[in-house]
Amino acid sequence: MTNSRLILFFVFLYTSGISTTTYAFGLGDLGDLGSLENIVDTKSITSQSSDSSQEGFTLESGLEIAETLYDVANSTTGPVDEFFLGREASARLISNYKVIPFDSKISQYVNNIGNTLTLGSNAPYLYSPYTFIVLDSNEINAFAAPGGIIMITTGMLKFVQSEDELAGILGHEIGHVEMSHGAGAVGQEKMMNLTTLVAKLAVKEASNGEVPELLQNLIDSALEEVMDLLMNNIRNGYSVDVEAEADQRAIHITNASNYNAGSIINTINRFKKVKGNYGGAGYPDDRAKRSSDVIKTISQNSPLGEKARTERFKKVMAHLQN
Amino acid sequence: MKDIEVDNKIDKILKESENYDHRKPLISFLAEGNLGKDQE
Repeated sequence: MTNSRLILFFVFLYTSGISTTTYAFGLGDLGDLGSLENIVDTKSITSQSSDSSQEGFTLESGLEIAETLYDVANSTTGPVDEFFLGREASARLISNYKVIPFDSKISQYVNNIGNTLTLGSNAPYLYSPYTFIVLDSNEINAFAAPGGIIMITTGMLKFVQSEDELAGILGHEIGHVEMSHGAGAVGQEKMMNLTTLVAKLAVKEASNGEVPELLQNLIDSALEEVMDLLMNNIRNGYSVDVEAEADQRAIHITNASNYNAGSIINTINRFKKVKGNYGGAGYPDDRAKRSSDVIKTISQNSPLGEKARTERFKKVMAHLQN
Repeated sequence: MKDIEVDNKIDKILKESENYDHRKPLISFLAEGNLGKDQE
């Protein structure tokens, strides 16, 4: 690669970095469906560059890549992009765990609760349906990846004491998905780098599957930076305000689905007692109080059904003990 | 190679979830637990 091509690429990176700082992500706008296809016209790129790609990375193909990256950088991401971001994050996360089979009683039960809750959320329908994955681990945790992939450990299933408490945990994670917290956090800090996730596909197409080594390295390193940030947020919590917002959404989502929304307070207080904190540095010190304040603003559901829910919770959890 | 295996793992779960008909079990699940948006 000559110096002029390098300069062209770095000028692009610099200018697009400036142009993207003001853009925000939005999951709620379903009008963005198919944005990936709209942004990256890969067929067009392939046909235009097929001749030059046989000779390697030419100035023409470099310009096409730069133009594509520029278009991507100037576009907002939608549900499709969030799904692929979440899929990548989930793939990395579950690689560290054994997954409880999807057709097991435990997994089906968690999916039933999760699907009940999504109907009471503000984002019941995503690009790909919500998926709830049970991870076989004594770690007490639950994670939400962008695009609706929600993971919960068997340690957390043992930690909660009723279906309504479990609904509170899943409601919190659905709240993260609904509010686009994952993609939003990336957007605030590394919007430019996220575009490379999409652009990577275009680059491969533009060079007929042969990605120039330097470009590939730049893209891989940018992608890793985005994924590191996202994985850190998913594992350790986003920020005090974001986690408080997810708690708030959990209360509204569980309440809308006719669960006892106040159950989340029991779980939060037990966190403090058992773990010594409310979830880690990303969570508010007054987490229980903030949730109590939200609960005061909603009308409580009838307790009808709570006993039956707790009984079936115990039955299903008995499978977990074995 | 490891990346491909990881992707297969998540894709297999996503496919299972997408193909699974959640509606039928959900109806009895909602009724038994007195759940759902319209319960109020």
